[in-house]
Amino acid sequence: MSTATEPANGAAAGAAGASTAPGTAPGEDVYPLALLMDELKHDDIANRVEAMKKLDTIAIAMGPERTRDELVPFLTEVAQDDEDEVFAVLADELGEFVPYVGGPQHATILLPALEILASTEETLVRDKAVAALNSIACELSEEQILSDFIPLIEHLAVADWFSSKVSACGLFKSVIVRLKDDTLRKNLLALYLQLVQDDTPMVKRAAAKNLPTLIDLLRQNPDLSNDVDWDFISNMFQKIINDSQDSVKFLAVDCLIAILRFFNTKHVDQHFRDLLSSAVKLSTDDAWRVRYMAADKFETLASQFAGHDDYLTELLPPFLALCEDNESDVRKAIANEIPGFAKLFKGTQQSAVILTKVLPAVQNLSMDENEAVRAALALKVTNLVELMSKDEAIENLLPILLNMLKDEFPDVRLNIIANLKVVNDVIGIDLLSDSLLPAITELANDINWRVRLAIIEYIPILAEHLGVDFFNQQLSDLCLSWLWDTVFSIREAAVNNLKKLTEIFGPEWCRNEIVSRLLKSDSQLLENFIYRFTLLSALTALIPVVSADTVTEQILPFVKHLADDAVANIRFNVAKSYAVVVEVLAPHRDQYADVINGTILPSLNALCQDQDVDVQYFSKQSLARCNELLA
Amino acid sequence: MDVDMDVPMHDAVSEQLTPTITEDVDASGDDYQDIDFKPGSSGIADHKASKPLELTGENINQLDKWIEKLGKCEILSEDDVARLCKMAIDVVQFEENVKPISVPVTICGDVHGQYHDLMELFKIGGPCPDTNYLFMGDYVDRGYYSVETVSYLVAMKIRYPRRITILRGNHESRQITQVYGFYDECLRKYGSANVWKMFTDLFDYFPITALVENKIFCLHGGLSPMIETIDQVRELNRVQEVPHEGPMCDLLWSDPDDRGGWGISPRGAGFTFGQDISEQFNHTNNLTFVARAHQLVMEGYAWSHQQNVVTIFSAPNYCYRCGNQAAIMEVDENNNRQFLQYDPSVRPGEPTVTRKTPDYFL
Amino acid sequence: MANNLRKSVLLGQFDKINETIDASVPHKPTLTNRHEDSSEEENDTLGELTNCNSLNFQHHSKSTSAVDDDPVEGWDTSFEARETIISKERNMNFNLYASLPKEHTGNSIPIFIFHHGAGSSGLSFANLCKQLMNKLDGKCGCFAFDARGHGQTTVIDSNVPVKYNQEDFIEDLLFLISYISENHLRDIPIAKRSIILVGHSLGGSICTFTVSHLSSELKRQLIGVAMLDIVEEAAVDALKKVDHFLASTPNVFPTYKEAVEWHIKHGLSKNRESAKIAIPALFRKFASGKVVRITNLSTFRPFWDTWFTGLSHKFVTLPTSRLLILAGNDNLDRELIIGQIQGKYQLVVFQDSGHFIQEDAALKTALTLIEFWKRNDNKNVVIQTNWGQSKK
Repeated sequence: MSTATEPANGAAAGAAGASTAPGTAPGEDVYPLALLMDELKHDDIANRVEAMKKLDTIAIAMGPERTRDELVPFLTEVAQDDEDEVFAVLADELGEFVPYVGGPQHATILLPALEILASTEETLVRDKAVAALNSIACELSEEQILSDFIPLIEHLAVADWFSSKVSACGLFKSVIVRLKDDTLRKNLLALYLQLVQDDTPMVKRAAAKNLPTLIDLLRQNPDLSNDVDWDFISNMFQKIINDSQDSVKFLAVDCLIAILRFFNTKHVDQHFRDLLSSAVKLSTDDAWRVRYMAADKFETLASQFAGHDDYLTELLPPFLALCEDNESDVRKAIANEIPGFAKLFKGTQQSAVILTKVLPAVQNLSMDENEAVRAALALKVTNLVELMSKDEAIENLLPILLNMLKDEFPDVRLNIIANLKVVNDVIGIDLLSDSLLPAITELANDINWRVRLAIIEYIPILAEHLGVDFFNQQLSDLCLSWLWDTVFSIREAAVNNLKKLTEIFGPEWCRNEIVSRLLKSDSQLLENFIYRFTLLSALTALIPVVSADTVTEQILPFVKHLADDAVANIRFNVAKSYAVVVEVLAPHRDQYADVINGTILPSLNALCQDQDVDVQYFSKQSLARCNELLA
Repeated sequence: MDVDMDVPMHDAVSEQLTPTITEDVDASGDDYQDIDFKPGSSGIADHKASKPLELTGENINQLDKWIEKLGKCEILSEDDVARLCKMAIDVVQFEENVKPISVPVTICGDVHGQYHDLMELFKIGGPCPDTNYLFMGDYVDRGYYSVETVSYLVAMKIRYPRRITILRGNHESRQITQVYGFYDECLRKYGSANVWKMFTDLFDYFPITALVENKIFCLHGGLSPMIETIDQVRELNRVQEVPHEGPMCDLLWSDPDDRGGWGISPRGAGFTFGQDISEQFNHTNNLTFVARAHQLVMEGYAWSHQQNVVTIFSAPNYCYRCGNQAAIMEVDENNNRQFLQYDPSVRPGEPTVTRKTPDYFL
Repeated sequence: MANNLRKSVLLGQFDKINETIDASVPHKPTLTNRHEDSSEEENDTLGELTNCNSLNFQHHSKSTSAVDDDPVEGWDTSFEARETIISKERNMNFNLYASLPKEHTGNSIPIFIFHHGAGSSGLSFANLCKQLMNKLDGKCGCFAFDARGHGQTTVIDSNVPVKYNQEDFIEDLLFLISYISENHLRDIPIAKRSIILVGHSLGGSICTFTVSHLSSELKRQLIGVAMLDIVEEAAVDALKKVDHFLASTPNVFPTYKEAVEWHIKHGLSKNRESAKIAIPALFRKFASGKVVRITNLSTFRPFWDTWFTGLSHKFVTLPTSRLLILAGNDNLDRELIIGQIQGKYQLVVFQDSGHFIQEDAALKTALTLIEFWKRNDNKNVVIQTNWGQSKK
């Protein structure tokens, strides 16, 4: 084993001698191929994989000519006898190999090896080989495409084994719009049609999957395509949409969208009636996977018919059926598409459709048995408000939203609350508040701290809409209680919340409703340094948003009192707070000279002498900052 | 030796049973891998200071920059890791085998490279230095961010030596990290084993136990039949690779057990100890209880031996698939305890654990 | 990348160990083709012995006569004896390899009983057993056999359909353990017997599930179960890929030598020393000279579902000591991860080994098994403590 680990020089030289072309000086420059060959014979797969990864280096060392004459033929052999891991690397490497064989004019020499790799059974290897072939195709001339690449596609497409045909499906996109000749293109499409009709589902799936790409390419090159092309594509589409296997049929949705886009770009609408029938057929298919695909893409699909109001109307029944589908995954998918679909209708028709068709469906979905469906609905449903008049929204949508605010699943409530802004813009928050409060209180006490956090972050917006009186009565206790949460992030959010509320309701409110209440906090609670720390953080956060008098008269005494705290963490945060106080007072330094020089600086100086190094450090930082502010 | 096991015994086995192999390997001094696996080979401990590192404005700046970078889950450069580890040695080498800790402090268990969950821990318990922390080992292996996790904790340790204590776990070892991910992660992220060498050289200096207010004895694993008093821990020479057996090994490997007395550990290292042992140890050393980590507990913490031992585990959904909660224990300045449990952090693109199906058959 | 870097680092080490092993084992002269040899003997056996459980010891001096150009090794370089055990009840002629302890000194004698995995054979453990005997100076017992459908274990009445359910393998193993205990271990005092069940892959599952069916007397003699490279979740996944594996694995080779080379080249075997014994045992030589794989894995397909379900849970809760050795990277499933970090069993990972741990890392496996025995054998272990000695 050990002898095989490193290629012995003797063996390398021997192998090199055999592979040296006449006229080439034997010696160091032939070493790379010999080395590679030796490594590729190694027992251990890892060594062979490593060797493969060095192919580019070896090719550079050999130069283009010898790479073509010796290395590539050798690799073509390797591609027939090794393990999948080695093949995967080889495919990757060959995709980058064009410069090493002397540029595009020699690139076709790489195709045989990749053709072999594209026929392997292992999907990974095949995918890599197809990617490599496509990247090489970009560099080939039209002549080379004709003489080499298309024959390769043909080989693969008519091979016995499904794996070759699957690979073939992935290669058409590299050639389909590079052929200016209509007959050639027609032949290619005929070949593709064969793949669409293959016996094995794997091939049919691959063909169906790649078809939208081909249609998109034709759409982007409108001058190229003609009616014959369309006949083929239409034929392929019919095969896919009528396939007996769900796993093929559901790919028809993407094909249909691509076809509709194609005709929309060409402004040809003679086929729309048929295509609409296809859309309806897919949306109401017996197989739920097909319906799911249609539901998931419903807005995109329907938007292709935008402007044809009668067609859109015909999509309504299948849309409503999807909303009542037996499969929760289908309902979840369609719940996301509702406002987008409703928006496609215009003018008076829109409001009629929403009121008589869409909202009853929404009502049902809002009470769906599956919580994921309800949560998905909650994410977008508020957008409907923009499509309605204020009165319509109040009468018809609001009751649904209020109900959803009482949903037992927190995500539903949170999704509604997080998207309330648009509702508020149209109908105002007042009408929501009765249902909102219980919803908020419950979320505020949710066992999951992220739910609590989400609702705290929404409080300032609510406060703005609800007004100070309502807030004082209903929400201020809740806001203070969050300060004593066991989770630090909730306490931190509660502190920030108080600051934001003060910015809304003003310094006087803060002094009366917050600061004075904070200073009366339960002394037993404050025996735990965590809550002293929280109180200190809260008061410090409020310093910039309350009046200077509130700072000096109420906040500062409390801060100073903590300067002697037994816990060092509190003391260095006192030091930090002092700098915040001085920042506020500095502009009025004469007025507050006593406080600054008599209270703050002496206390800070004392903290600089603290026995704890961190207290010293932060006190010195603070002091420096104060001196800077007061300079 | 290429010994890959979650028990550090194989070397010992080899030495006892196959002198030829051991000698053979040792004899070939030019074998590069001997250097790889030799303690001290990183050189970070070559110029240790004779007194604890004093932070200057310059290195505080440096550390704050590193902490900021690591706080974004970005790794330090190899050179910076070298500087970090050198500084860290001059901090931790002066800590005692039994590091005295005062309250308040928040005590945490295994983290195992779950960086995002460590950040979640700080969201629950509060950031350091505002909250004081004691970590009981196992920062690396298993999770996908061992490098970021251990770099972050070590940087915090240097920056705030009074605010955070990091003990050694059984995974802070050369042998174990070669099997359970840290070694591979270093290779993957740095292209060489240098960073792994530096960190594992540093691990040798980590303190192995802590004593909170003389009341709570904290360590990674558990008790040892060779350690009856805390003073006996103080006498150990801890600066070495975690040994395969003996008291230091036991402290990092043992588990409490329902059966009384001492037992053979199914792990292959350390021992199991019963409630009688825990009670006696706490009585002898005048302790309230022993706090330890090392074992997954579904609720994140679990009392055993009638509150003589508590297990704390701080890696939620361990290995991204065990479904357990994590916990930390806050001890306030009045020695009141509170456990905080938490779930995995929510992060977009959570690594879905795809496992390679073996190619072989049966 | 990391794996490859690691591999290159470890390779040197691995080679060194192999060299050491090579050096310590003097090469035997070219050996007989056992398969032709043994088929004759099977006939003999059937002719001479009609009693159930009769012995047919075959000593190694007999089987080194014929010449074959294949550099393969026979069972006799690793085991003292080969024996066909006829069980009419099980409808099987079991092929057993055995080495008995050379002396009965000491208060504990380890008895290793091995069960190979699907598609393998008892000789997969040949090199491992050699190493065990070596390291323990012959003071241990090693028993390996070919499971039903494998190697040279054959069906007596081929008209009776053969099943490959988990319980069929368990019943076989129970039968063989009893047989070994009653016959081979007769002379060893019960108090000294320390039975360790070692199973590779499927064999690990069989060993684990067999424990609860052992008689209470055998349970007392059992000191542990070791599983080699088997994880329930990964195994179930692997079953899904068997077809791919079968498609890419040739079943016929021109010679034993080429079979060995192929397995080495494709990474299925990483230790030539082991491969020389273990790989030929998977093939039968035909008149044409070609060798053909004996076991067709796909015949087991109807029984796969029974093989692994509940294995991880069963293993971590076994009422005996547990050792799990894995190859490559550890790929524990949830149950095993939790069990590991809760300290329920001993986990060892040989990163430089392939799936066939007992072949690829025979020496390391032997050392680990010996340590496992020493550590968990209550006849040997006294926990030393200094508690109560240094008192105030």
